[in-house]
Amino acid sequence: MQLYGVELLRGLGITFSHFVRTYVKGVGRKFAQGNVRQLPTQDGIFTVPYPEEKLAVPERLRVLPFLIYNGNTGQPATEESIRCTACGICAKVCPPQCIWIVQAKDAVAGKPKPKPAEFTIDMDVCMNCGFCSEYCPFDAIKMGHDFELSNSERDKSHIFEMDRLLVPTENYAKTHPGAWAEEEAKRQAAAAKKAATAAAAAAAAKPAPGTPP
Amino acid sequence: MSIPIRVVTEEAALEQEVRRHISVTTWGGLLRMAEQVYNWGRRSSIWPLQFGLACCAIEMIATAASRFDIARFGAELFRASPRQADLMIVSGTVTKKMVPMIVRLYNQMPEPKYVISMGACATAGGPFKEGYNVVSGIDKFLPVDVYIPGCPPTPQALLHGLMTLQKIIDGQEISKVRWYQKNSQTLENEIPVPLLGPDLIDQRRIPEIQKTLREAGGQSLAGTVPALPATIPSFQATPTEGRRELIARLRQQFGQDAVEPQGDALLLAPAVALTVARYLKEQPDLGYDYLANLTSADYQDCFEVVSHVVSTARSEKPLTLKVRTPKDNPRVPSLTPVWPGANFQERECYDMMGIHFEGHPNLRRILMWDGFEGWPLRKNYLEPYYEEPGKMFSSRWKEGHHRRAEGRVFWRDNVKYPASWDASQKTFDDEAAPPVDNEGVSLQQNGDFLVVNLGPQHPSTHGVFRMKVAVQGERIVGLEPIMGYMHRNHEKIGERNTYIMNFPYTDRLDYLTSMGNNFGYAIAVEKLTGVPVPERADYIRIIMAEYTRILSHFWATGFLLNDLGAFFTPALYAIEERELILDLFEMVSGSRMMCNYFRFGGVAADLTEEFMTLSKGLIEERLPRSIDQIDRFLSRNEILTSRCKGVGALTREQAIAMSASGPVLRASGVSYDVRRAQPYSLYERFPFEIPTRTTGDVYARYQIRIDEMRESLRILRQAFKELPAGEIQGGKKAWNVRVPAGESYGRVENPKGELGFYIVGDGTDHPYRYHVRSPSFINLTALETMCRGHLVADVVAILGSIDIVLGEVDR
Amino acid sequence: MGLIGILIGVVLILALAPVVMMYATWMERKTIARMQDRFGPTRVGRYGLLQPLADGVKMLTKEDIVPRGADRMAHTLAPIVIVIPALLLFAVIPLGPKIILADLNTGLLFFLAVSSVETLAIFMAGWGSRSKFSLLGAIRSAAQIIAYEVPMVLNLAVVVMMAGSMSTAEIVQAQTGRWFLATPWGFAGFAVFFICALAEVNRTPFDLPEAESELVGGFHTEYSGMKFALFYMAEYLSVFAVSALGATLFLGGWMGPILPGWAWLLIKTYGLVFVMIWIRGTWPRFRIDQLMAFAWKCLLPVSLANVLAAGVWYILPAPWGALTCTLLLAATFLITSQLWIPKARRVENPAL
Repeated sequence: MQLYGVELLRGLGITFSHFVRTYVKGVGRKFAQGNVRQLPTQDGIFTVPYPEEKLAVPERLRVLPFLIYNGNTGQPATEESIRCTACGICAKVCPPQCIWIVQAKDAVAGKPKPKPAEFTIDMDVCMNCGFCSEYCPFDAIKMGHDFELSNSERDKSHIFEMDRLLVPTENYAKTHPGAWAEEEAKRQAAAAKKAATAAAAAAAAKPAPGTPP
Repeated sequence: MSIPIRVVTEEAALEQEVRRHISVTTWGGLLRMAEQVYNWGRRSSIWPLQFGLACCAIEMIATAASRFDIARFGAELFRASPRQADLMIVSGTVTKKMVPMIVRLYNQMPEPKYVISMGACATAGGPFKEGYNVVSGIDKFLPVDVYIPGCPPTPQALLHGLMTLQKIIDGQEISKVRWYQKNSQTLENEIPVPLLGPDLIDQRRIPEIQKTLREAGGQSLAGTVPALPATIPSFQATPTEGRRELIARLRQQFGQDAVEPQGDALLLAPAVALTVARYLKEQPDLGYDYLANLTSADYQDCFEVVSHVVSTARSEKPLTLKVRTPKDNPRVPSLTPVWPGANFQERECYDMMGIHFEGHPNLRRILMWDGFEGWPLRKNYLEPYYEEPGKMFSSRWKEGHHRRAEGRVFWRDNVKYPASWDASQKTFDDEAAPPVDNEGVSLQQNGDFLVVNLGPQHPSTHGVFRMKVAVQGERIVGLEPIMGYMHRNHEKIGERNTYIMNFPYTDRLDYLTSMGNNFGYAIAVEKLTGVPVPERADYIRIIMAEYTRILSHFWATGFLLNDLGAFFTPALYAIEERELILDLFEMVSGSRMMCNYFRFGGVAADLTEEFMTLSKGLIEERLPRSIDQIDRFLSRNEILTSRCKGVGALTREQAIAMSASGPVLRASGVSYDVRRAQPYSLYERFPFEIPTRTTGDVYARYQIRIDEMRESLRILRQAFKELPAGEIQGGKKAWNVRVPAGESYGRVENPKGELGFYIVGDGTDHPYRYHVRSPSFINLTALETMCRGHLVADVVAILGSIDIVLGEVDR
Repeated sequence: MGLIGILIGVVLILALAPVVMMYATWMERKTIARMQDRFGPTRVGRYGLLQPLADGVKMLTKEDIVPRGADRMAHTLAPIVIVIPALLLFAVIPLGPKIILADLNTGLLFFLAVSSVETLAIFMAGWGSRSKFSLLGAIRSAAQIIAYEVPMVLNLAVVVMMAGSMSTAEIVQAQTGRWFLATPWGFAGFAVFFICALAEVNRTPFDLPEAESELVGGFHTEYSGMKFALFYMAEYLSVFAVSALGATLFLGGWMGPILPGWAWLLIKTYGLVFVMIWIRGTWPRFRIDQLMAFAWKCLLPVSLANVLAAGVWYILPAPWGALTCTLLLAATFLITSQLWIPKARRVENPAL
């Protein structure tokens, strides 16, 4: 014989306790400074009120891709500093095929050189999967964090040409510190190894002292 | 304040005096004041329509949930009726089958109204742009105010889009807005609803299309059909050890020619296929009572229908049965009389390949509409946007000048019409027809019942799913599920992709459980490549799969209660927990929902420190507490029990016969879980229970999901304890993988049921045939049986208890 | 009250009722939001206080759509017919010892009669919209309201019986010393009255007619703009009116120490409104057959028992009276609550 209605009252009790907790926890709550990471102990109000507060951005977050050139903020990109070699792997591995690359040609001889002349991404086809960045052998294309992209036009603004894609390494190091540190370590190790083998080769090529050349 | 007066005077100085001392404001000034109030009212009270198409809709719901709280902007009142809504957020891929409904809904909304195109798919077709059932952006039909890029855009991006819309409204002037112009969109001047003929027909273009067809007499073909390899499907003509005895026995029973071995599979002669199937099912020692999967493939010299059958009483891999038929007249006996679960799957083969199943009670198209021209999955069917047989397309690199797909094709849009098409032909419109059940029996026209359409835009159909329901008073006398509104041509695109490219596409199948989908696909392909998975990667995979299970069951439970009317509160508590788990996924894989995390031989990236710390807090304290809270909140709630107990009952025999899987199957007393029946990864190391109930009703399925969440926590605790150090990916990391020729059927226990991937490889880096065995799709076979005789209000509860996701139902 | 007094009263009601309704919507949105661990409207004015105003401005400026083929007269009159009775109800709620707009000696009867007119309006809306969904919603709603009128009226009859008058002012006076809620029959009466009130104003768990997850908004599906705003307004006005009635009949109306009468009435009324919102935020809804069964098989016997129990309480000396009364009510409730739930019957091969 079940007393009808008891469980209903228990349900009411649960919602009431949530109601009260939202006022008790975080009384006099001000907007958090910096980005918010909610912990499992989160209680009371669960809202992270955008745009006054924003959620913490994990480094691996994938929104739209961008190209990297070696340089500081404010420094313009040059053909030398752009890391992309137009190898085409990103275009080949992109699942919806949203990357178009024209390989640059040497101005004099017309031979292809490892630099992109045009690099276009159609952001309305991009699925933010990150394969381009994952498989690029030159750390030249990475996934960005900027998601505040809404606008009223799409024919021109959603087709990103190279000038809108380029980002200097200083910015990249700020937004992706962990990846930057890892890549720099690898790069320096590789450079050191190369220098060591070059020195060893030079030492081997140098004649021993005392022997006539 | 005085009324502004228009001063008619010849003296400009006098006029100036008047303006300075008498009139307080000009007419323009007054209008501007009114405008400010008008705009403020409109921008502060934007009520969206309860309308969501696909994955982006989930992020839209998350925006309305506790963490992002669109209510702060005044926009939480999502109205179900278009008459009361101001904003249509087109969230998800716009398919051709769905677009007439969208336009109709838009026409019903009163001015002033706005459209936000959320996500890449709604903006221009997105990653599915190349599909034959996809519209290249909703702005082909509706005027869009704001575009939000992303796939899917995070809830914060949607809020940013809402703020952009508010800024636009702030800048509008009463004298210039669209709806106050002389030729505004009144009831008479609506957007003409597109029609569904041999392809999508935009009514505004009909004269142009007719003229072109008359003059040109046809259209340039999209491309040439590639030659098909002759080396498949005959892989191995010698039977494997386990099948020898069975083949001998069947040959003895039915004749030498009845059965041919094909490696591990049995090739049946069409004439005896049905009797052999019945024998396999009814012999007590064989007892193959459950059809796991049925699909078809298009080879150079034949069509092949492949079925995978298991016995629910044994734990072993499925038995593969094949039947072949010539290409010029493909006819195959239907297996529906033996395994009713084949019903929808055979209809899908008919729809996609044009194979006729003799003896099928209701052979009609299921995903595309009746009247659509062409059999899409055939190798000689080329979509309008077809470029090349396989990616990568040569137009992308070395000389990759950007060109939109629309600019490349004859009709400047994703359509094609047969030369003989005449615009006066009748187009697809099934509003008036009464529902047809699984047996093909239709209720009489003009009988004593009312036909009501539930969906495809309906707050409770979990996406764009439609049910045609015949009611007598409040009782249901007939129900027909109609799908295909989210058919995004996953399998056709999958055949064009390379193996690696398919990973992000599998994310978008059941978009709530992307990790689980990745898992199934990885297992299926790893069966062919044989690359070993390091132990650490396997543990990580299991951790992600179980987190996904908890997340999906929370969502399902919360929304079941939402359907029962508990005004979103339990759903919001459930979504809070899901958000915390999504934080973990975002940290590790880079995206909340489209994780794209698994790779062949392991996973893409390692776990982070923060992941481990947060997981500890979640698994030890938070999740057990919240599961208990939801349990306490609801499980004995009197209203809930009275609405769920005894409703939508499915008996054990029915569940097995109709190939139900997941909680639907286990609620009916069948203790079958793929993690036990055919263990994959390291599940054998985890001693977890398989919750089962016997009543088979909505309440039982709800209870099973709660119990499964607790079992998942057990598995997670053990996995974290035993997690070893090591590599996270076996084999070399390569951007392209060549998979040896062969076929494989990889199955995993996804939260919704058995998710299977049937892959036929031809030795290249593209799959030859790629099929997804979708649990939600097949579970719907039982929907009509569950609903008949109940009340209309029960339908939503029953549908909620099956827990479908349209990305998976329609693929 | 002289003519001036009446005019002032009328103007006050007409001016304050929309404000009351707007802030009831604000209260609902904030309360439900807080129960769901979130804020609710915050950006439109401080704490979202200007939100209802914005909603009003927006609804005023929406296009008014009349569906093709709709019965224009019924379609247009329905919102008006639903709002006016909701406003009239405030005329018989006493705000103080002598403060009441219309001191009818059949005040309660007036209240019940006028609130029943809303059923007519719902039906007009459903019929006039010429849509399957609206019609189904309207029929359900009418059936529900009629079913729940009966127990409600019976309980109010108990109150009339014990107070000796149908005039709301005198009923409040009869509660001097002890609220009716503090008696066993008053407690049961209040509980039943509250449940029936929820059903009368179509709130959860009885909001099937406008069940958003089932029949797309029910009877007001086809309404847009200002007409929809009037439906919206009528719902919250009725909520407020019915809570005010409950406070008047069972909670002692304007009686209370220190604060003026109208303040106490407002506190009690808003307390009941809060409970209604709280229920909306927590419970799922009943199915139509369960709803009807609950009214006829559970609430009606309890209300009849209540009439008897109240008489018994009055006649027998305390504490026997209170004891018998409580036992009688408890027994009736326990028995009927086991029996009323219809088993989920599925009809095999329903006849066509």
